[in-house]
Amino acid sequence: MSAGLDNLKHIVVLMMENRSFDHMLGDLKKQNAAIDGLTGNEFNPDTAGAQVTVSPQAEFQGQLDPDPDHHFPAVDLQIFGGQQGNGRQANMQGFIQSYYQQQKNIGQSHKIMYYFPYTKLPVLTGLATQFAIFNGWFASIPGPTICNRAFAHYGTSFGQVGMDVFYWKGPYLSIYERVLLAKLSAKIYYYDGPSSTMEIVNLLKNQSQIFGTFDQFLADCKSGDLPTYSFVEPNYNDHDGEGGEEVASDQHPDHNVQQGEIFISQVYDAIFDNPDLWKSTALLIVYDEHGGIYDHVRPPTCTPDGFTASGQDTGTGFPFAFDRLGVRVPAVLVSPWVHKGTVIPGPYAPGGRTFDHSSIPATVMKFLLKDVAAPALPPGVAPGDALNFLNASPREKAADTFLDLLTDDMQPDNDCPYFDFH
Amino acid sequence: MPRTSKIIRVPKPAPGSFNKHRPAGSLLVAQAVHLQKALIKHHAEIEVLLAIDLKEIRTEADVSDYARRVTRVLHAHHARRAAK
Repeated sequence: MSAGLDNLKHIVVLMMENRSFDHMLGDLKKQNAAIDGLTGNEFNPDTAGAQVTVSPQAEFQGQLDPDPDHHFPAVDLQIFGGQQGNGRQANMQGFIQSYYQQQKNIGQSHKIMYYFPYTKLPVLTGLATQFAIFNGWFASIPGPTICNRAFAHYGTSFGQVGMDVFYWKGPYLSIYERVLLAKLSAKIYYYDGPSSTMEIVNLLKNQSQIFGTFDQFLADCKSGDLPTYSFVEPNYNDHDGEGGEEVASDQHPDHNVQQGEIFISQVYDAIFDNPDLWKSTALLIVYDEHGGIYDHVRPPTCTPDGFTASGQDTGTGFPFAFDRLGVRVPAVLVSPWVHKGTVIPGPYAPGGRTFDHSSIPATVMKFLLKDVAAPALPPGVAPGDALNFLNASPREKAADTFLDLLTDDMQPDNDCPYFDFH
Repeated sequence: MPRTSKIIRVPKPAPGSFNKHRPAGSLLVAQAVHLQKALIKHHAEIEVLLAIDLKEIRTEADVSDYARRVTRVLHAHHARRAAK
């Protein structure tokens, strides 16, 4: 076992909203050819037949309005370019077609191909190049927020491909419940009351003891009282707060991307500021889904989930067996034990690896609950190996985990960034 | 003082970025619907507890069951307040 794993006591996951890998990190290919970003030649056809190439014109706000469609039928069009039937191949050629359908405006539809120059996102790109960037982290489902976030919490969406919050069917427990069963601590830190949480299923299950606010996260980092596992949610809406205007920080179009940069830096700085926490924590920054925005990498197939969504539920007329992933999203692993500039190859590269949000509970199980003595079994759960014991979904059992990236070598503090957002 | 000299300045959003009157997107509308459903469920749970006739609580087992159910509701409120 590496020194990094020996020191590991906390995993923190920060899940942002609705931006694709190429949109946020694609420009980093200029800095490091191993990063599977953009050459600048990638294109999509528009509805007038022109080939529209990607362009570094992304703006922080005011550009992706209306919010690009990212429900199941739209994402199907984006990935397959309108092909139907058996034997179709993903070609990532339908993004402009999809966005055009919302306003019938050719000029607006081209904006779905825009990406950020890396210099405009110093926090996300800075952390990606300082620590580890995943070339192959995909949304769990080619669909919207709620079902994708479910995979981060449960390792499955229980057959849901849409926005219905009442997806929980059992027998799979949330990762929070499993951590609590193992007599460890877990928390979902939502931003504040007016922003609330997107993990309402756990609220419904009377798990209020696992919720805290972002202020509490900052305090817990400072005092060293961070739980074993933490999931941080950004501010989902603009609202008046006690200290004045609270600008949404989730980066969901058309929310301000710079405010999201500040939020990411707040989470990072809070961990870095506490030396003991810094060397014992792994921080994963990941986006729930691509938000309808262009990415060039074809989503791979995956282990079926044991559920099937009907053609009516998918909205395409065709059922979905949860046997392929959604569009690629940004994912960055931060830890001083990660080698500087680590690039984890994606699924089509030699030795490549594929991750999705079910990798999150799988990683928590493998690295934090591995030595835990048998906890009290929930009713109806049969004993078995560690994963079966705590009843992980087929997708979670098959998911790759990511803490093997922690090494024996610790990056010196003075080589690590610190963000000044004041 | 930070333990590193590698300080990266993070720009703030332009003035005027804040717009609480922006129409809510589908995610936020869905969140409101789900919160209301959660509230209805929670409210229903409280109603069930309020409907219990205390004259029917006779044994220690009756009391402990009632206390467990009520405490679960009250503690949830307390935990939310304490978390602020």
